[in-house]
Amino acid sequence: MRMRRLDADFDDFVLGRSPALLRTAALLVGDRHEAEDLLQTALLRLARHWSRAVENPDAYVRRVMVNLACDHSRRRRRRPVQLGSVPDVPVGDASNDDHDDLVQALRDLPERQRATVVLRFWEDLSVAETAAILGCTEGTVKSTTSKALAHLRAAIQIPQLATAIGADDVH
Amino acid sequence: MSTDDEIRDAFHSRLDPALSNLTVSPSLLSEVRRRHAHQRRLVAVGAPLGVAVVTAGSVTAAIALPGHGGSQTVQVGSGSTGPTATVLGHKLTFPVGWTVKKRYGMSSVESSTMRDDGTNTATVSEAESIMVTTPENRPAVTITVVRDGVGTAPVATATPAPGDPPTTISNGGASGGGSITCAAGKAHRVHHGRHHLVTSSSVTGSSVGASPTSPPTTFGTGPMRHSATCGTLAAKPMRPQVHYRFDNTDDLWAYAKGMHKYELSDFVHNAIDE
Repeated sequence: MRMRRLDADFDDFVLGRSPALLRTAALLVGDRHEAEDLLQTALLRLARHWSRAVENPDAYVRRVMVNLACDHSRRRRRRPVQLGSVPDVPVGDASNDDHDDLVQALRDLPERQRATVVLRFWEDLSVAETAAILGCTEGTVKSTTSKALAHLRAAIQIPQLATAIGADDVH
Repeated sequence: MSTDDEIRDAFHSRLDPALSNLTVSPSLLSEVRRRHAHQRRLVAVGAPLGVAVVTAGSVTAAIALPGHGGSQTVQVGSGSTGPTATVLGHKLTFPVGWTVKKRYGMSSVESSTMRDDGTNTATVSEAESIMVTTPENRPAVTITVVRDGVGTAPVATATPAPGDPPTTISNGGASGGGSITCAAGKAHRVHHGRHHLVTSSSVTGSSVGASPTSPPTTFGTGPMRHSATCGTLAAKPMRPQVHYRFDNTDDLWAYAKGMHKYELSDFVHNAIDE
């Protein structure tokens, strides 16, 4: 009976949370196909550890996705460019430059900075929650956030964001 | 509104439209749910279990019952993706380069139940085992499939001998030759789900013959499944073990040397999944 309940909970979680988690994955890796791979891998790992992760599956999946995204970025940097390979499919709507600016600026951030701002400002997590997922101190989250926002401010010209980012103190 | 809130608003106002066209592929969801349905039956058992070894001598002394004793044969072959083995009818596929060797196929007496007339009956199980070795010819994984309840056999109960260790779990003889194995020595039980795990940390007793009915560590639902064959056995610490239950309630047990339990879990999962 308990097993059936756990199965039903898992299905509910996958069906209910996958769309939002896919968007987070897309921001973490900046590519639609890679985002789907990232989400699928994270959900399969969640399935394996569901009985332990059931208390907070969101946090578990986010942590897996962040770790995989960072690993992916590192591998990508080392990988030679292959001629004739399938091109990435960037996230975003090409018809809207504002959107693309921010998406592109996020893609250009170092992976830890990108993960930090995605968790803080897209997933709306607190500093403490972000630190728990990234496995670092709250102070590190704050300093990383400041650096990331500084990069974004320099990269994009969005008044609303630039104004917000312009504040020195990020809580 | 705090600075953080303003930044969040800015992020969402810019990114929500950009990401609105992202939808999750139905195939992704179905694949994840399918794998989870498969995974749920795979239980990785914690590593710190004392694992007793089924000895070759005990295998040859296994009780042979008409129609069951060793009647099932492990089929070992090779498929397009690697070697295969059919164990009690369940096909397993292993990575290319690995080698599958048959270990044993046998029937055995598992546990006894006292009847009203004072006699005992024992449940008969079938077990088949294979050893999978790495491309470097290093023994890596032992897999045993056990099918319980394929028959019953009458059992004559014997009184423990005066010299037996006080913690003897069971000690008896089976009619028709041979005897039921015993697990002596200091044993302890660990509850794991609905199973009772019985491990024997130091076995010092002896018996007349033996029937290794279960994989090295016994997870029995009955009260007296033995944990090891009798003889001198040392506790084997930290050997990962995995239990998988097939749809028809057959149980697969795997244990490994030099593998993390999650590696072993993946290994078994992939072998069955193929």
